[in-house]
Amino acid sequence: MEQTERVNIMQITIDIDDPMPIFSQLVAQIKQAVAADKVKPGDPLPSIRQLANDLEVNSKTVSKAYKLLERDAVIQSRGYRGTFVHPDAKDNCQIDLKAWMTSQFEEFIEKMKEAGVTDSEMRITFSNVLNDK
Amino acid sequence: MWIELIFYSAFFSQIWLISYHYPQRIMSRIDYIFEHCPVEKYAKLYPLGYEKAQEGKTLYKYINIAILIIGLTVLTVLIIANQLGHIALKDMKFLPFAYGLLQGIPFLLLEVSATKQFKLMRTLNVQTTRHADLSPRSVFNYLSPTRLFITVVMFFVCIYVMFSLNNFEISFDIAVLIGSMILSNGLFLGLGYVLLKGKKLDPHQSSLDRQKMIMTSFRSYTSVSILISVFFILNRSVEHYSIDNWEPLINSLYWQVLVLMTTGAMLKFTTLEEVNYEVYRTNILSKT
Repeated sequence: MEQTERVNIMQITIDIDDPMPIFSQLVAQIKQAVAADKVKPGDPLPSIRQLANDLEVNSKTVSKAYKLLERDAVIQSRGYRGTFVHPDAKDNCQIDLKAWMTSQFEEFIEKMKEAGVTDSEMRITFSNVLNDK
Repeated sequence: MWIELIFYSAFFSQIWLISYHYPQRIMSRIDYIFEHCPVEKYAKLYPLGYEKAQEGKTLYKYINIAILIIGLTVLTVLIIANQLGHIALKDMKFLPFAYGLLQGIPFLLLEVSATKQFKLMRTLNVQTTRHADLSPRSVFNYLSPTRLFITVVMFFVCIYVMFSLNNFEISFDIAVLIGSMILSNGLFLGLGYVLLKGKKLDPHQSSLDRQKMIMTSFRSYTSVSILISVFFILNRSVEHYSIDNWEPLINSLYWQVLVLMTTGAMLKFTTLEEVNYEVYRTNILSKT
């Protein structure tokens, strides 16, 4: 009558001694699992509390990882129903936001330098704009 | 006379099952672990040390022997007293419960000891790597909807029957029974929630073993919940129809079925040969 044993469940592993922050390890491993088809679009993911308790980490750490994954459209939250793998997760996993941001900045800095803007002027302006936001 | 004979047999069965049969099976499981997982190789299994584990087993054995002797003595005295006309069967209705509580002491000690050992395991755990399933645990991974439905239906049927036998009036007895039903079912809900979403008790336990443990616990909780409902229906019926002579027998059988559904289920569904002991090996104790 009962369900049979749940075998072959994808597992993630974190190392608290690793210099990489725990939330980044979580993001990287979930992205790896998606890229390797170990979890499929639409698959449910554990709740923040469950994952935090299993890994014995603060729930804010897991929440931060989930927020980043949601921002990258790798996972999606469906309110009380829980968190699921995004339908386009596999494609979105390939996008490296950090690399994209670096290339955008490089392009922008190149343009500013061509216009004769100095490094310190750029730093001050960037800081001011960021503070105004 | 025949009802007395059935009760004596049931009470003897209660003594034998709870204070001899199950303790024997539990001790043979402890011996299996001592034999297959020596402390030199599986130190993580013995957070209090091997000697303490041996002492615990010996204490468990002697407490059960003492309770067994008490039970057999009480049964003999009862039979004689009943034959001599000093005590009637209906006066023995609390005996199976009172003795059952005594029989529960070694099981309670085992639970307390296990909780202490898990706590110590967590304190001593120096592993820096941690694992988690990338899949949500929900009630229906471990429990069929039918079983859950039956449990809930039985709860409400029981409350209905209790009220109807009391002409739909709230008396102190009914309030106590309903209160205890709500409390016990609330306890199962709480324990179930902790199993699904809470922290690991045993920090080394493998994922598959944890799933089996949760499944066995959920089966026990629902079975016991159904049993409590059935028992309360029978208990009220016995009082309502004034068949007090049946009460000691029902109480004894209830206690035995309760142990069958908890300890019995745990022993049946948790086969020691299938447990992953590699996680307790000393050589993977720590990466430091």
